Amino acid sequence: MEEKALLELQNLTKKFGNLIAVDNVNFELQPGEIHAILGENGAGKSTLMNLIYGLYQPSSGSINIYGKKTILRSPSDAIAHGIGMVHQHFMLIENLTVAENIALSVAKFDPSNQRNASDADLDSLPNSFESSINLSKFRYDKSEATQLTESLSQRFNLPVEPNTLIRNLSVGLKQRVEILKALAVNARILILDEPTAVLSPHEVEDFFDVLRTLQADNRSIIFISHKMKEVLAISDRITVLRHGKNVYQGKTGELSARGLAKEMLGEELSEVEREEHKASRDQVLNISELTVMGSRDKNAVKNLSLETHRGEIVGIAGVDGNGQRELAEAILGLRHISSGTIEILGKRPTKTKDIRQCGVGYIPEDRRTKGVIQTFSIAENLMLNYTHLQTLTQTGVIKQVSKYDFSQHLIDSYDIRPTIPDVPVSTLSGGNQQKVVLAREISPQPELLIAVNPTRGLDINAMFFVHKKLLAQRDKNKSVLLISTELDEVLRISDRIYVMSSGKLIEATEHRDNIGALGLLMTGESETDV
Amino acid sequence: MELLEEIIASTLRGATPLLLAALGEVISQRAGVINIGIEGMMLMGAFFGLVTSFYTAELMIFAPWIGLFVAGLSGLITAGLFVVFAIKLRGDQVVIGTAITLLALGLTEVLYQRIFGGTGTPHNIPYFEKIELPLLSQIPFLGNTLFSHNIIVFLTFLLVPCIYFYLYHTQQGLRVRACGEHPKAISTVGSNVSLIRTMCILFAGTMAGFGGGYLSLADVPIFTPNMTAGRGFIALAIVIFGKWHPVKACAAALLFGLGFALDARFQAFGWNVQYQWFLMLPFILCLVVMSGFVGRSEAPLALGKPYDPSE
Amino acid sequence: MQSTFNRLVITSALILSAAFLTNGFILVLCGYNPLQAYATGITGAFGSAHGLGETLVKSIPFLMTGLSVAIAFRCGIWNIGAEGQFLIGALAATWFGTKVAYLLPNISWVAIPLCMTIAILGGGIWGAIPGILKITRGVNEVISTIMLNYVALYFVSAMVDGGPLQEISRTGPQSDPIAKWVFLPRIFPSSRIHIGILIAILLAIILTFVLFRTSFGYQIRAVGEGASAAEASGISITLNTLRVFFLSGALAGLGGAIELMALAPQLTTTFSPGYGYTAIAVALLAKLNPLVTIASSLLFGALTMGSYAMQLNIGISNKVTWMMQAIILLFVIGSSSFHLITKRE
Repeated sequence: MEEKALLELQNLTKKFGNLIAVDNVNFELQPGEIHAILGENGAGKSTLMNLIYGLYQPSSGSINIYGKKTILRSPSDAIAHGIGMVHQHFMLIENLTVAENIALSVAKFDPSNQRNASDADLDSLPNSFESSINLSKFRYDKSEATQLTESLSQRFNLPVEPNTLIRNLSVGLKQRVEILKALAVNARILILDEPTAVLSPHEVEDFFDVLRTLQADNRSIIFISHKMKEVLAISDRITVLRHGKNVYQGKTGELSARGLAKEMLGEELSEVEREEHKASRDQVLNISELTVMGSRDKNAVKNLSLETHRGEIVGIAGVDGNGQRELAEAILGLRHISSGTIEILGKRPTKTKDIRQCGVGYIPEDRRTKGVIQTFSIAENLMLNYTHLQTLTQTGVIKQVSKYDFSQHLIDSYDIRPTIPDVPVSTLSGGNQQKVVLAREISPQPELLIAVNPTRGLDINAMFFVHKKLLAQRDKNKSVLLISTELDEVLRISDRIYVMSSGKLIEATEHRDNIGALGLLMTGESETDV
Repeated sequence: MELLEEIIASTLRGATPLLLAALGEVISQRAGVINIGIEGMMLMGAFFGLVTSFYTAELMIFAPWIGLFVAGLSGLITAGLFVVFAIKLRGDQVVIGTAITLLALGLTEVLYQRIFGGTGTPHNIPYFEKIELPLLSQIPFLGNTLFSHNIIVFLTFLLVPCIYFYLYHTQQGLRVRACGEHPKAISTVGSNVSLIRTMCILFAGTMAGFGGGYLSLADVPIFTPNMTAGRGFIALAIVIFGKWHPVKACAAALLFGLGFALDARFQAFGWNVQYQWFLMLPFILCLVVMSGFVGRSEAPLALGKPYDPSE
Repeated sequence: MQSTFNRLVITSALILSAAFLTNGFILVLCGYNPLQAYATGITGAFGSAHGLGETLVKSIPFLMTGLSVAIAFRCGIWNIGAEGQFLIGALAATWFGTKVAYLLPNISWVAIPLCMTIAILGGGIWGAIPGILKITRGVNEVISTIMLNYVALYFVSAMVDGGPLQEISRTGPQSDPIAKWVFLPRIFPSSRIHIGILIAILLAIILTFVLFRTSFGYQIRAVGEGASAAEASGISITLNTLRVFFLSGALAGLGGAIELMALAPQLTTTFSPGYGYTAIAVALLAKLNPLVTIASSLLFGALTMGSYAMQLNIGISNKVTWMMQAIILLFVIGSSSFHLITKRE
């Protein structure tokens, strides 16, 4: 069947200075197709999508829509050509309602413009959304916007309450609003950037149903992901990007998961193997009946108890936003505790400084803003830990010689590149920035190491590096608390496993081999139902 | 009773320039721009408004109108400078605002000395005189308090519902509010964040210019160096106290207007209290109000953060 | 290091040339001859031993307030309140010099340090108020410090114009002269240059060392450059913020006291011609580096001295310095908006 492609990229290249982010990429998208783009972080997926969405202009090559060469100067151009995008970080205004967000999306949109933009092949177009409600150009009328939202909801069977503030919606519902925003402007091509990263396994199933409905409506979807399993489950075709080049394109199922991984990485995987290890009975962290307030005056952590011991990694899995961040911050003394106690090696310090001095290391989830200080040099970032700062200081003055010896030593032993202590951290890659954090937090040999999503945004090799370091801590008879949204990661290196959902912990070590059960726990099912 | 009438009337008159500047600042902050330069923009408006009226004095009753127009225009042009540095070069808004205020202080004083020398501004410059609204001003009590003012007072208070309508009942107003919360989000649906912010800053500058023009052209035509004396900064506090809402800002402006009115009254009474305490009062009020009534969560989320479209 | 220094010199030179050009253009529009004005200004500031000495004397308050602003901005604190803190420092020194000093033996080396301590405390506490408001009530320090400037201004006025510190004869809006033994000694008999300049330069050197070589300075910069990372590492934001608010206020307060004790034996209602606002330009032109602040404060001292000469000889209002300062500040923003200023926060 020789069908004309809805979207075709020819030899598309995007350079930033000397860096070639997208290198001669060819790609095509058929109507009604779900086309996955698979690649490591930094493989050029986002740049490619920004090119299609008009946020970047290509350095060379062309974008064809319905066989016609098209220049997309801005997102409005892309929207006019029926391209919609759901960003990984939602582009929703939290303090406005669902209807207001949708109205904002529709306001700048002119349907007649869209028809002119792609006049060919009108028969193969999906049924566009013809609403009887047209928003006035000048006035913003709440009831109009509400009606528009309701009719959209009905048309695509994506129920949502129009007059709720976005900030009061769950993550799944927010994503739904994002999709509605795109559909409201008649998107025929939907770009979804890592859409499942924020969803629980259960929500992912629902989400896939939505995608299939849209597909049945003859809309095309570009599904960007680094999760092999999901790509294999939903897509029709797969394109693999590596270092900006497309290294593979084919029908889903042609290559096994392992084969795809090889394409993604360009090499065979070297798996980290967790060996069984006998934990001691010595308690390191003892949390009892902890309640912590989150933002918006709700309890984020509810009456939670947890113990960790020497020589074990305790893994806490869970979907983002179930109180993990608040739990970690409470242990570190960064967040006020409403009730309950946190005991570290038998002591109950409350100030972050004292907690750190008890021997607590912390790898925070947001490396860029909480892990390092971008404008500081590598050496200065390596000192950003109370223990180090104290050993390097004499009567308040920082000893310059010790500072450089110390940082050079850490740079060498953690293989941080570049190897110069005076380079600002902002020039380092994500993986190397994380190595700076690891070096700083692990080198004082903390009794308890708290790692929150320590591998987020890292490539596979950097991820293995982190896992090895965490396992090494365990083998040195230290205690590690791993909090992660990546279930695979938790399963791979933890000795005991918990699932965190709505601020509560459920022990789940026994379900280690039962992903289905873990998934249900993550969506808040109680253990008796599993 | 007469005293009460006078206090209410002078509250309205004192609140007018503050409200003009504050309404502009509400729009600018809603779009995510904190504009400390309104103090300087007011001063520019006050000076150039008066100078224009001075040079066009033969045009009689038109002169103050031309003056007011030029006052707004000089606020607008000064705001244009702010735009270049804050939007185009994405500099820090606080520092730019301070620089602009300094610039206005220096420029107006240099020109003031050049034009009026040591003699001060003459008294025969045309200005906005008190007008009594037909019929309405005959109403007992209300007539004297609410309906006998110079024209700008009436126009300013009429602006409050207009701004409210604009922010909450128009598509553009919705975009302005979105712009201060999450600029990237609206740029991905096709709005031009820099353009929206530019327009909002220019609007704020124009309003501040009018506010300054009011100071020098309404009721008494006079300009003295640094005559705004912090009113632009008080307008900033009014915006915060008014929770970025035009109607609440109007209430806040009236409160500060009352402060100024009482100040003038007490001085006239010859009470045995030093006048400086009254001059201080509005600023203390600002501090008390800010520390007691407003949480940090209520400001627009992207307030004060330069927007970089490539990020 | 060498190239960083060269780059700083070159950018500064470019900024200054551009600012002089722009300012000159505005002067033309105002109907003055900028060449004549600048020539007068330069002669006034550097043309004679007297002028040079006065330039140095005038740069001292800029250096003190400039250091105050630099240290605050380094910690991510937008202290626009150096003006008020400067005034309160001077007020505290006046109170000490006119009321307390007479109760003490007239020994300078006792009275002067005591007087300075009082001013440091006064300025520091005044500076700490917005810090406390920020920490406990979440009040934005930009607005609160501006408000406190006006409060300080009227407070000083209330004290010396009709208040308890007004001169006993009650003739003018000013205080009595402070006691002779609280006067700061001069360095040369023929010039007004006083030991305040040594104190200020010493402080600039100490602050540079503190910022870049001590644990305290490291913490200040960490809080300024990456508050959440600093907090997670155990550095207390609250404590450091408060300390820097106090320190910044203390520096400005000491600046006010030095100015009073060395030059004006009386406190008047127009004691500061806006040093605290100019300080922002001084500090930013120096890229918030205390050592470089010495150079930039000299420049602003020369501008001030030059503007007096212009007023005297050509009749341009000496407030032309404000214009010049604002233009320099704008060019600093323009030149650095790509690296320095946008990187903060």
